[in-house]
Amino acid sequence: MPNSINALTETIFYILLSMTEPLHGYAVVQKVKDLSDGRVVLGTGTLYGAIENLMKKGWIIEVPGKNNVRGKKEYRVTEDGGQILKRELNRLRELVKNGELILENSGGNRK
Amino acid sequence: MSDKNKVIRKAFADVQKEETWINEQCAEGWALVKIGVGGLKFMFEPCQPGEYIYRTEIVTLSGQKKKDYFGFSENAGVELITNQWWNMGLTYFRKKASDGPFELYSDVDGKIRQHGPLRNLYLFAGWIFIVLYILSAINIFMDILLFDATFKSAMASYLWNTVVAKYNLVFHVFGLIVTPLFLSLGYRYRRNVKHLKEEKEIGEEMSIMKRTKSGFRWVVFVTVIIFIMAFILGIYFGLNSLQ
Repeated sequence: MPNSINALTETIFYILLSMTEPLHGYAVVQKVKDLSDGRVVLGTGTLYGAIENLMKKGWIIEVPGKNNVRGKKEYRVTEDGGQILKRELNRLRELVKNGELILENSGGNRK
Repeated sequence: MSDKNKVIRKAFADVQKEETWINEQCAEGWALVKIGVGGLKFMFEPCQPGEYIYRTEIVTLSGQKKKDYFGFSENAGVELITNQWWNMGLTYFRKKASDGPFELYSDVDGKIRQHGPLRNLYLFAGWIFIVLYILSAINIFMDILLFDATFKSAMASYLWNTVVAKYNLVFHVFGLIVTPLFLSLGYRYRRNVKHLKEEKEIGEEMSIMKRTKSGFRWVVFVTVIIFIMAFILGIYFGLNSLQ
């Protein structure tokens, strides 16, 4: 299991999620925008920094092949990255479950 | 073509204001295409009003990484206008407004990475000046208090006649102006970074934050020029007075 971390940021979660299939760095912007219905628009500087960090952590790798001209590299999630994603999903489920449990119940009580 | 272009000479203290101004020019149909040396001369070409969104950033990367970043941006449809060392790495990007909203940094960490180097730069420069002041103050007191009159006058004339003495004079006058500036900027960015880190503990959403950015990079450019001039003048007068 990769180094333990507590929670992913929204930015990192969406970048990892979009790289479950090989994707050009800049194509991530569009994909994340589509996934979030236009709510999350990644800055190019933010995305570039995030890709560097994720590579360093070994959560994504460069896909060797056809289009690896400068800046046109393709990336995909590694096994470690996949585990991180799954763990994050479980964490989010817990948040949603508890949020619904408490907020929706108390809302019902007041009525 | 060139007679249709527009040149504006303008000095900005605050890079954020500069960015806003460039975008206002674009809204009036003038697209920034080039920056003159020192970042004081802006060259514009006609464009559709509001055709582009301009963004500026201090890029601290160098070498291959910088090329990678610019290549990456280009592939994302972001056009690089200019990135020059004499502008302290201040970089101008633009993107077609029809592509939708355009920001370079959409997260708090990115902002922190942007402000950290500025804080370091200004604080370092400011404190170097302070240390030099203290050293020269000690030097002057030693001169006045410790040595007898003959030695003192010999020492004084020696100091005065050297290149160093002339150079120091210019350095002191100029340093008196820029030291407070460097320090105030340094502490301003320190506050920014601190504020951003506090925000980060609460959440990662960027939209609530003010876009405060770097300023006064042209001061650094002027500093370098004045130092070079002072150095040349110092050598000139120093050599003259030795003869």
